[in-house]
Amino acid sequence: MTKKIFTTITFVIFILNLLHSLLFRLDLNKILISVINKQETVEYKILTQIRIPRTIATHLVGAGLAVVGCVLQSIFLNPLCEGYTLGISSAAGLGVVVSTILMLPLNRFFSSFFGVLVAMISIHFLLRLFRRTIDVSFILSGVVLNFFFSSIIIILTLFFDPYKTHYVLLWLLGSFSSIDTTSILISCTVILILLVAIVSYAKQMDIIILGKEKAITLGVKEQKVKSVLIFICVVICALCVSISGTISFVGVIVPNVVKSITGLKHKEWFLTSMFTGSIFISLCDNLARNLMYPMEIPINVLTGILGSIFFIVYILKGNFYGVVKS
Amino acid sequence: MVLLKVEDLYSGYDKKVNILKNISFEVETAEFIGIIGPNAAGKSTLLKTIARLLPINKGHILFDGKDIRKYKYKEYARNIAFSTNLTSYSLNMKVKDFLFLARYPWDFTPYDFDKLYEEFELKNILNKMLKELSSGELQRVIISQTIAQTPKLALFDEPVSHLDIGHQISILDNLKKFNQYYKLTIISSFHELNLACEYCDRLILISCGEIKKIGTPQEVLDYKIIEEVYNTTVVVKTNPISNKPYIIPVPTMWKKE
Repeated sequence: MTKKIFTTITFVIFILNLLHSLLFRLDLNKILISVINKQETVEYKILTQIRIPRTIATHLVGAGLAVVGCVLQSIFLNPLCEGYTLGISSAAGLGVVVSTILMLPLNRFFSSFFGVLVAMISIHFLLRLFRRTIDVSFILSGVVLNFFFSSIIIILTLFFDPYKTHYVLLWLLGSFSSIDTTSILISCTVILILLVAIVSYAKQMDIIILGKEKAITLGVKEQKVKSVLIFICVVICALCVSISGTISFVGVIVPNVVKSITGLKHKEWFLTSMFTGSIFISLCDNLARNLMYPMEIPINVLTGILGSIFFIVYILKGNFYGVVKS
Repeated sequence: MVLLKVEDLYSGYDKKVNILKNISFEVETAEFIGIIGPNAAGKSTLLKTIARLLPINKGHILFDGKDIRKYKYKEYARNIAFSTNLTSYSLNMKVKDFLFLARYPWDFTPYDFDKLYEEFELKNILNKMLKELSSGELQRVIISQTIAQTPKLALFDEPVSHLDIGHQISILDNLKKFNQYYKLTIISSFHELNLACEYCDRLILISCGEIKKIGTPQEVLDYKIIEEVYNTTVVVKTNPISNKPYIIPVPTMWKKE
């Protein structure tokens, strides 16, 4: 019953939201006329060159962030994991800030990807050095890393040319406005492929959450699957950051809310989370554009406010069973 | 026919530290083997080494005449199943979905789950979450999943500890049934010596990582050996129903003479 209600509501929101993000403040007649007459009017250009890429981007970033949350939660067996809390997003942000300051000839994706890569590798060697494994203290160290990277970003922006770094800071707070069509389309295709790859691992994830011993004795190459999935998650995170800056909290809220409806069957969980996450981010983007029109609110602010209210209601209602004590 | 052959095995959680030393034994098809021994003797280590969860530092284990390190992951899972506790995170799963995962090594080929539900009386709890089950029910579900994996050899790590005697007997009865009718070979560790002797064909007594004694319950449960290994006084009687040995521990306050 809850499933049916949930599906209907999300579908209605999805359609309305899609129409709104495509056609908001555009004259539908003019667009239709220009399509029929094959003229390139201003409205038509806005629709094809700004609205459509932006809509695709919001949906795929939402799907990506949500599913990365699901995967990381199941790998680390902790319902609070996501790209942001584990420090991946801030590492990517740091990469972009550094490359902007040093004026490296890298586009945003590669700089964010290198940021994450450098961070991950250095963490890996640090852990090796101190003979610790990534398990229990992972979420804690993630929180620490997140603070560490964010602080470094702020220090860097204080010391260097404020004009150069100002727009980077604004973008880091989360915004889909600085969009360049071709790179968006490329990033979105890559995200889409990686999402399909993640869903194909759903059955193995079902087994991996049972525990290392059970997974190996059921014939799953546990370490290999985990490393592949973490790598995919890191790439998706870097791509999402390069498109829209760091958007926090989505990767925690969406998977946990969806899990209470679908249960812990990873295929269903992944797909529903993707869908819900894409709607959520797109909705937030629309609100960010409209609430204080013509100014844009950073999307991170909106996801934070909306998300926390929603989440608290959810916890109080008792539908939340992310954190379990057996 | 010899199913499992352990030869001169040294293994442990680390490459450098051997918990098990010089272990050698053989297991025949359709045997029910019990591993007993005090805490930290290496019972779980032995089971985990056979399940390929721990590295073999020296010696080798042959399954069906082939070194276990040469099996592929899925192929090994078709032959040997290991029953352990689950992570608390995974307890949000439904019983039905959980049982279904047992067919992963067989690529989800059809399996008669209805029969399994009947044997283990799971019909009423199929749509419950794992975390809603009592510990007896949960243990029953975990064990039935191991059976649904249809291995040749099933390993159980203390399957009935912390259960009441009713649940202990019903679970072990089920295992014995699969052992006798479907020729499933079972190796299980036990804390409860009396249960081990009732159900097992042979017992392996481990102490400090080494095998102290292998044999039928009558041979192994000699009061001298037990007193030495467990460092306590016991009286061994015979169970009047099964004619197997029965152990009564003696509290120190009765040791007057």
